[in-house]
Amino acid sequence: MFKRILQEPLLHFLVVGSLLFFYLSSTDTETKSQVTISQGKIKQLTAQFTKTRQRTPSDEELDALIENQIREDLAFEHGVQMGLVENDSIIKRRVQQKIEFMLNDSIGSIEPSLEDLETYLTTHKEQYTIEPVYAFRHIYINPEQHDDVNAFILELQSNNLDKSYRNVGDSMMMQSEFVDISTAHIARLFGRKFSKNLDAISLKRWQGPVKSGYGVHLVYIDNKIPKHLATLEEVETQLRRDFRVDAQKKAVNSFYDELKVQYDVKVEEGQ
Amino acid sequence: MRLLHTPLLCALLATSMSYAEETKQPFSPYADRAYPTKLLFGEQHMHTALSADAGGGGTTLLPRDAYRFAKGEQVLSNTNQPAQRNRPLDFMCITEHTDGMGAITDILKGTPNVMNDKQGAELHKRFAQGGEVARRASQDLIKWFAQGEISPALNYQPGNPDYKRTWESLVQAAEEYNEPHHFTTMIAYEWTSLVKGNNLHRNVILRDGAERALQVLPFTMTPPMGSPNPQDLWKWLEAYEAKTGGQAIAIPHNGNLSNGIMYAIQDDFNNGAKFDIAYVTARAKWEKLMEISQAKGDGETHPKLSPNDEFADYETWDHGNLDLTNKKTDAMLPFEYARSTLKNGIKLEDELGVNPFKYGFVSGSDHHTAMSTGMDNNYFGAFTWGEPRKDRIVSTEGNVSIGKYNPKLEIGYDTWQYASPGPTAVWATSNTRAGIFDAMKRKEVYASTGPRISVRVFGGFDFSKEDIKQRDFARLGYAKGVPMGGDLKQAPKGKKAGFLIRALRDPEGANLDRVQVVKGWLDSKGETHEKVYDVAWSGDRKVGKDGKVPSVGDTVDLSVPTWTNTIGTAQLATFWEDPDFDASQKSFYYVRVIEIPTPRWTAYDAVRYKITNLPQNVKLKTQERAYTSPIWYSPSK
Repeated sequence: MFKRILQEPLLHFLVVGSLLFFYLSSTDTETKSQVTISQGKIKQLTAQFTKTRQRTPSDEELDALIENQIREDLAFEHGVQMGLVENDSIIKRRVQQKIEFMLNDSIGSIEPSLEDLETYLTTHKEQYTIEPVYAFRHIYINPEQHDDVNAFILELQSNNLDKSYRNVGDSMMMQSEFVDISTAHIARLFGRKFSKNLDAISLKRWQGPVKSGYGVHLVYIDNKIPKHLATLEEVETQLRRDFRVDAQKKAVNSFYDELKVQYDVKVEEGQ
Repeated sequence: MRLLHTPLLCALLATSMSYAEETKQPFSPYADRAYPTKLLFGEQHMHTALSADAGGGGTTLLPRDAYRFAKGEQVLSNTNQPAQRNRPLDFMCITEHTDGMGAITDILKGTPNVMNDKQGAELHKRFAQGGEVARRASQDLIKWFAQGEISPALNYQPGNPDYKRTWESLVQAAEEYNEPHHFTTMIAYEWTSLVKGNNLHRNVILRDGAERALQVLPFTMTPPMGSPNPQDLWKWLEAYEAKTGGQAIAIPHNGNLSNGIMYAIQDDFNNGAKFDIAYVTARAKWEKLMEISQAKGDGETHPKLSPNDEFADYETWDHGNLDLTNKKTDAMLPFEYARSTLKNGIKLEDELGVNPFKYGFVSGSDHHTAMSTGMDNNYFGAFTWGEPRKDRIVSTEGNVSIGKYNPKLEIGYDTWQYASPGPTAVWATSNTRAGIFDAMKRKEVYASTGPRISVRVFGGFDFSKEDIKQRDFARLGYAKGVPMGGDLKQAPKGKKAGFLIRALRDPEGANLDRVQVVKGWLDSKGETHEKVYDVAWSGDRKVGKDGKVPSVGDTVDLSVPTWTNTIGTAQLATFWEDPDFDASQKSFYYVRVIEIPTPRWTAYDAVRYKITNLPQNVKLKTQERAYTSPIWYSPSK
């Protein structure tokens, strides 16, 4: 039986074939992977150094820059061959970022026309509502300092507050008059309740008490620009920016929609 | 002595004083307010997906998202949860890590000009036409991207003959969102020096806009392009100012993760040599502020350094260095925290004539999520993996969720230990880059661990009890003394250092428990000391035998969770004179304002996710605080 096997043509073929393979593979000149630091790259490294340090690199420093670059490229090439790139979520995300950045940069360079902005403003009206802006004065009343807050307020109101408002009421670490102050800013200083309450108050007379985060206030509104929808002129810069950001978001979404057509995406069912 | 900031202010105040003498109000109440009246709250330290450790960790939000979120808009978080701040911020510094910042654009390097490419030239033309043509061009571009049909030459922005770097896009985003007087974006970065796992990070903040920022590239830490040595960073700052005519400062953070090297008192980059005059001068020049409160632990002081301070153990992180490759030892602590560093600073000043550690205080979140969420009831975590989810504190099996752990050394921290960070408060003349930067440089800034506590302090020798009652006490403060961050020189004979202090609680937050003055000084033997004084407090609590005001109490109901403002008070004001003042001793004073207890973010998680198996050691309550920048007293020798 052993003899018969030795006479098999298939075996001859396999033996000769593998000998030939080993012979060829050992004599074949190995093609080495290339790592090239081009003149362009060296120029770039030099430029980067100069822009960082505000001086040109010395010869030693340039050598070190090139050596760093060689090591980076070598490690990367070798790492890729070792399969280190596979399933590395950090590398994957970095690549994902890069591709989205490139897309965003491309889309971001599109300048919207005035018509584009007009349309954008009409479709996003609420986003560009300008809340009231005020000029007002106030008198602070700290409830902790009065047994009968209401009596104190009544007493205050019996005075000519237009003249005395700076010197009556309780002391507070806040100025007693504001000009050109936005609703958002008022909310920041006094709390949102106060800014909301202010909107309901009529102009040019002392009113209150209005509640804030610190107690109550008597308030005199000198002037008010009511809440209104912004005009193109008022918010053009923001519109341009937001239009672009929106376009970029949409571009990224369509990019993935498009990719899903290119690829067969499967999500495996659970048990 | 910087009693008055500018000659102009000096002149204005002189004018107003003469008005006051005649008991006349100036006609326009706003005319002579040359001093800062605007208290702004902002974020000084933020990362987005552009930072490698954020992007690699799953963060997808970018600088523009960070700005939108800070301005109060709703965004979808990195884990697709709708997120919004309760109040917008006034300013923002995005501080991406510089090392690896250029990697994003590697794909773009060495590419020829777009216009030499057929596809590129065609796209450029169509984009330039705008309108419908451009829209269709963009659709094509998306398609080509998806189909891999994009020409390699198009790996950069059409229409721009140069490729874009991350720095450029960062600067551009900052320019787009900078709205002077409403919302300020400061151009900034984080220099991420790590020496054997010990944190030496510094945020670099520019006063300037794109035209100056783009003349340079941020400093990195890998030699020879960069360097891990802070002295080389200071050289970078020097070169930046010389080249551009702009201004910049560096702000160190997380001494608590540096294993004793952040505020070391010797030059570790020069075999531990003693500081020379060049070192201390440069440090004092470029490092005006330190980040004292952060997601990765509080940096004011450590309970072992301040054993008599019952508020010292606040969000303490003392396991090891940044990457947990080395354990913390007690010997490292004095060189990691603010209070001990200020003490070492006056000691070094005594020896060298210059104080290298003359730090004012700021906060920073150091979030790697592009979302500055400091409020405990709205806490989105420091990293994408820390965003809200059922098991971010404790797993369903009841195991504490681990943030980072080194099993070899058996050190690490759990996710619950991250602190919900606070804003940096700035006393500025305007909400602009210049206004904010200048306030930072003169240290008229302070750190909050969360709430928007307003606090103002003036130090001087001529204040009296009556002054604190004045409505316009700030005007008096500047006229007769110096604000936080300022310097007092030799006291007049027989006078003591006195302080006007006012604190107001967050209008939407918790009441105040007390105001304290923290004093550090150098005695005649060259030893430093510290003492905490209770100087104003709520209610009629009596000072105990130990010299301390008893606890304010606790209204926290963990089942909701909530608290009530039935204890504490909305505002505290006092004139405090240092009873132990010694005119011959170098000293510093800073104010610490303490809130009443409130629920910590972990308490909100526990209720919202119905967590029933919380381990005992998870802290559920907090007493937030604000730390003002110090006022220094230096007698003439």
